[in-house]
Amino acid sequence: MSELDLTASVPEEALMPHLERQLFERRAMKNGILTALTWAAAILGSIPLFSVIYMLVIQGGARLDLEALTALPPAGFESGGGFGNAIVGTLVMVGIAALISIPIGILAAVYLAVLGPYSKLAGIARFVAKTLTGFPSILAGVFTYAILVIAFGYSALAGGVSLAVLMLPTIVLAAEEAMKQVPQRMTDTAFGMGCTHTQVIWKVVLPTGLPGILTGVMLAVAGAAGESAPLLFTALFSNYYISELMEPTASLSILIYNFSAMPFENQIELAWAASLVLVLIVLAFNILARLVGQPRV
Amino acid sequence: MGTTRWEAILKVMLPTASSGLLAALALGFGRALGETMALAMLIGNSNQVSLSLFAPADTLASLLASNFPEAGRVEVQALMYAAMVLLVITFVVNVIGLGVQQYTMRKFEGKK
Repeated sequence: MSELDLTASVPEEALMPHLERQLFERRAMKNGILTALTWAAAILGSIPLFSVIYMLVIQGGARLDLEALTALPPAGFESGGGFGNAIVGTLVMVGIAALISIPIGILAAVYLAVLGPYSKLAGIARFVAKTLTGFPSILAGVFTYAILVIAFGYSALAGGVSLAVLMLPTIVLAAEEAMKQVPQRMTDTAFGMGCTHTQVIWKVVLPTGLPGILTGVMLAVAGAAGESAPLLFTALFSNYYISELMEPTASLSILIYNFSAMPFENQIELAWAASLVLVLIVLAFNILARLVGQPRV
Repeated sequence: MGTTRWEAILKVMLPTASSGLLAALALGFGRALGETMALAMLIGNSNQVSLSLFAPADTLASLLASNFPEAGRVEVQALMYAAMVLLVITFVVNVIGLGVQQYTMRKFEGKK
């Protein structure tokens, strides 16, 4: 007898075992079910964003025209009108907030990243900034109410300060992270050539870290533009264009909040349109953050 | 070693990442505690204690949002107190979250 016959009598499975997983084996089945579950969860998680955008475009797009963008808010039973003053108010207050928080934030980040990264003060500042990012935004409003509004009344300035409180920690943490990315050998070389701290910071650390810093700033600005809780009792609201910084000022988010609760069809439509504009503004800053953050080739 | 993908996820990845997940959970919880406007619009702003999930109610943040704009002196004092309670609660939750996060980072740096 030849050896060929011997192998032929052995069942084929013993020679060629199934190395691939069978679909209905217990472990493989569990695998499949759980994978399907994560797919479902991922889809469920993205539903809110898409449905919100869909609703905004459908409901808000209908009223979005030049009049809505420039006119003053309508009274009770009036038709037409718009929210031009709220757009200006939002931009002004975010501008004030940026003027306050960007210099302080970047300087603080310089200290955290370059001057004393391991000092006790830096540790405390870092901890404070991290806790502040998780803080309820309305507390920034309460704080500003206590220090500014009680003394000077509702104003655009107070609104800007409360937004600055919210922007500051975001800027500090992002700018510190960006400056830490600057290679150690670059700063070492600069010091080695006899540069002072100031020269190193101005000519090496800040320019090199600039894209990252700008990204943080833009994200903070986008967040502040969409914020409404702190403005509620610092800037209040106004039906007219802003003429000076020390008077109550309209903002998009407060307008949306006020108008959406009104019993008039016209106001509710305007609230939808204002929401769409606000989302577009925030989106624009987010995209800008992406663009400036890309390393230059 | 021949695990399916899900055995690897459940038995290796999740236990390793658990403290990081916990930190994320605590920080997310802190966020939700302080959320103001979405609640102020939907919750109904009623100053009563009710056990029903379907009755109008209040959260600390929505209470502040709805009452602060037209508050008198005495009311402002009461609302400031509410703000302080909110501050303490969110502070504690955030510190727990950050603490767990720090602990996780140190654990991973130690292993390297």
